[in-house]
Amino acid sequence: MVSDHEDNELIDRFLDGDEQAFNLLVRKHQDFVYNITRKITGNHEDAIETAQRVFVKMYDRLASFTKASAFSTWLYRVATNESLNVIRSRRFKKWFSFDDAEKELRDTAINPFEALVEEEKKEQLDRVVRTLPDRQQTVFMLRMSEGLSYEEIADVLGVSQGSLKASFFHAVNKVTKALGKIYEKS
Amino acid sequence: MKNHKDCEIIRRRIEEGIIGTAAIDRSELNDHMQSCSDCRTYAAQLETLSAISNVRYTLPAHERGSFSAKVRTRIEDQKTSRRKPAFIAQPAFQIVVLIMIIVSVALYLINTEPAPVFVVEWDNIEYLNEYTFYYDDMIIPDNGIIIDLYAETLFGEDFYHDDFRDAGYFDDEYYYTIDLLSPEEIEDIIQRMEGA
Repeated sequence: MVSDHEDNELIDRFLDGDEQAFNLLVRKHQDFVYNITRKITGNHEDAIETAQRVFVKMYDRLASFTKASAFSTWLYRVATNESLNVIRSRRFKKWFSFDDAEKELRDTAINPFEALVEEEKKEQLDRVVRTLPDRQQTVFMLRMSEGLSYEEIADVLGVSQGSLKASFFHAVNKVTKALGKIYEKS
Repeated sequence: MKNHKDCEIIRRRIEEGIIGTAAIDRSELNDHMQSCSDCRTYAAQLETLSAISNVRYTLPAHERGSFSAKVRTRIEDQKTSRRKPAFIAQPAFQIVVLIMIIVSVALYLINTEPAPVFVVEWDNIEYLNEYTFYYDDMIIPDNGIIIDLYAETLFGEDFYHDDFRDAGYFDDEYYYTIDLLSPEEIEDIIQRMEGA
């Protein structure tokens, strides 16, 4: 999680009318938000688009941020929900366009410059995780990759910790099974 | 019979240790791990997945400098579009909305929607097969009893145990990660719930 003291100062300045403070908040958190949107949406184009929308929402809604939770948790929530909207919308479009799974794999394949820094196993994991239902995918990412506690994830997603534990457990089992099948073939 | 409540506690501690939100003395867990292959498997799964999922994405260099300017442009565009006459005030739009409302109400009244169909995941709960009489027809009956369930509809909507609990199917005290329970414990829970 990102530290919040400086964030709160910038938020206060922005709410007092200092637009430059908002730009500073964006620059400070752009990688943090992009990391979330990239992991959930699975490709750079959707991730960058979604990250921009997250900050537009942040601009509109910052006044409603009560500081009851950490700013980073609030930002996690906005970024996660916005990213989930993208993958739901993608599924909706797929439902009507009768696209096959192969096309989705092509669409979400990483682009050349990213391929330079990606490992084969990470790509396989990405693809497998993307086949999980939305909640399992998100919980897996927030828990495994971001290292958030169940309490923090419950705060981000607004669901009970019991449900999250079950989701994570199912996700780990499914991902392990799927990766096992891939490795058996190769 | 091994103590399955211990498994749940041990697994949470394994998670904390491997995923890195807490320092765990893993030697403390050894006694249990040596005698429990399920927990050993779970720890091995987590270690493998953790090793390959620990990637952080950052904005590509060519996006880094222009990102906040693009956000600012979007915000300004949004402000401008808000100043334009609202399209909802246009008569054509209002007629379309009215038609949509009428069609929606008509569809609701006709109520041709079929009963919800659930695809229930039991793939890692092999010994529950004997209880599939609840799910043979893949339709959860009105009085169905649900334990540790993840289900998704044909349309991809997810349902979790708390969704079913909120719908009144069962009380949270009966909920437990199902594969941590023995068949005897499951039998006991089902009998208690059937008797309730």
